[in-house]
Amino acid sequence: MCQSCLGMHSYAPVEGPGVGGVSLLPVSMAVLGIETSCDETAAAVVCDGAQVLSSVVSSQIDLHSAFGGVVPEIASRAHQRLLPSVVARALREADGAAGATPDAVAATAGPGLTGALVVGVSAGKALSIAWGVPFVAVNHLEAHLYAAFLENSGIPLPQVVLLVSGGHTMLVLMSGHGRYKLLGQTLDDAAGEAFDKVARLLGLGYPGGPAIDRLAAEGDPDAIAFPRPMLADGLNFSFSGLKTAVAVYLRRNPEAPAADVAASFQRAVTDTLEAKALRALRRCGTRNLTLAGGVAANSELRRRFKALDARTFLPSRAMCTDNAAMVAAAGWWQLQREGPSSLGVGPDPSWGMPGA
Amino acid sequence: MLTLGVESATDQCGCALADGGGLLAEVRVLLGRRHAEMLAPQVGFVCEQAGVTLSGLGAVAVDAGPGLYTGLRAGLATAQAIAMALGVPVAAVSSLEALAFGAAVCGASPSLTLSVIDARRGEVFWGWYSTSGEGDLAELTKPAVGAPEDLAAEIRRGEVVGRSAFGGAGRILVVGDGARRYAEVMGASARLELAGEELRFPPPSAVALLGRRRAVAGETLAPEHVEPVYLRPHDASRRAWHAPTRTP
Ligand SMILES: [Zn+2]
Repeated sequence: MCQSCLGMHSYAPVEGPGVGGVSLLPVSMAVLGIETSCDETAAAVVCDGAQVLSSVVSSQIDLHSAFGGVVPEIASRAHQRLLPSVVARALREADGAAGATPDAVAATAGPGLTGALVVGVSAGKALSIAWGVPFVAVNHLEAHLYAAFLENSGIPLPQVVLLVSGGHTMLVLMSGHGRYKLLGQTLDDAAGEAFDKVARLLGLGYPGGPAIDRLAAEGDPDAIAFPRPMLADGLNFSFSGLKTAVAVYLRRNPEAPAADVAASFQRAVTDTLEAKALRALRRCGTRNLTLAGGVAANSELRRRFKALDARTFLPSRAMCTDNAAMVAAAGWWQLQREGPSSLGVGPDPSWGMPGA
Repeated sequence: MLTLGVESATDQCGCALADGGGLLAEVRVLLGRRHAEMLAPQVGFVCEQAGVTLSGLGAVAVDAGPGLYTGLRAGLATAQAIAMALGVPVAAVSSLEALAFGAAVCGASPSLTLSVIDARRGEVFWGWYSTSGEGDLAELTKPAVGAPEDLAAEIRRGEVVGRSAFGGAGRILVVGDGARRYAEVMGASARLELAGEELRFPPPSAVALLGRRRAVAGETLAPEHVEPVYLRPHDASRRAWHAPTRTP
């Protein structure tokens, strides 16, 4: 697929990263990643878990925006319709005209929407048996952790990862590849969910993250003192109270400038995430911090985390939101550690962070 | 032309291999809804049993519905991906015609076959077929969806097909899990004959044999152009607001 992958299938003993064992794996390996857990249909080819040869993301946002959120049946049907072309394009862009096939296939098996996952897992397993290459079932949360490694393979471990998105808000200690500890998570709404709900209150439409990001740039973040939920204690989060506070404020102050509301809300979320992330670093005795997930594309969050007194790694916006390159990368690392998954594996809609 | 048939549009999940000599291998499992788990191992199993490899395939046939959505999606994604990986075309087969074909090759040879698949939510999918001789099958109506009572009324009117065979004598063989579930609703009649257990679900062999026939005739699609037959619009009303299971 790439210069180092194309035609190179000389199997040689290599150090299995993270486990210290010696395993027989191709010297260089191109992995096709498939991602269909929510509302992005994506495929990518990544060489050795690091070099992105292609990354195709087909967003369904337009299909869902009229409903103010992701509609599972619409998402499932769209994945079904889009995935073959998305995979074909990822292969074409990775390969030029040589027609080489990947050395392994990795697909997101959970967590996510059942009907959506069925499409990606079924296609991934079928491609693997047709090509005669290994299949890896990848955890979507773990894949987000690997987005940063695609752009900086030298991220030191242990590190703390703040994973913030529409469905999850969690702090994870990554002490090695495949070794994770859940430090804290949201007890109610995810951070991205709060963005969507506040955007709806402000009449900004769906998805809320980018809309609030844009509007907040014109507002005063100190205009309104929204609560910072659970700021004082622990590493868990709660965002439903903040969302309610915004709703109450808007009812009492219907004339309030929307930009100020957006900026003040965003500031409250960012303050909370920053305080918890710093606390996690202190507790774990490390300075290495990585941001992951769709909310990590937020401008204010990125600006604040860059300025932190820590070694902060910020994946590009394209790698923060759902994509298949991170799935291929996580799949490659998993293949090195644990070998292929069973072909009898199916979607696991409520799969948590592995080992956490 | 070696053809793989994939069938997972009902509670059943299975696949079969057929070539010019007929059926080579078939597997079908009724184990609840585990289509996404089972299909890939099943494909490997039939190939192993038949002593062929996937690289020898000339086409992939798939039951494109109507049927249960999750199973349909697993079957289509599997068939499309195998076809794409091997660079071969896909032949789409309807679940209802696969059922009728199953009846025809069983030698039942009635003048009319009515395929009825349980669509859940109190509805059925159905279609009328005429069968004659060795698996010759003609689709008389497009696949329909509705309440079993609607179908019962259609049977009583006896006019939907607009053919003498329907209005005249001749028996009607009724096949499919929907027929068995709603047998009482459709009403007893001397002309209606309910098929046995072997025609409760579309046989994977029928998908492979029908699909092979279609592939030989060039009636195929590129993998990305195969569309499932849902027959019902998506139900978005139940999720007017943010899906709680949204992932990161
Ligand atoms: Zn995600």
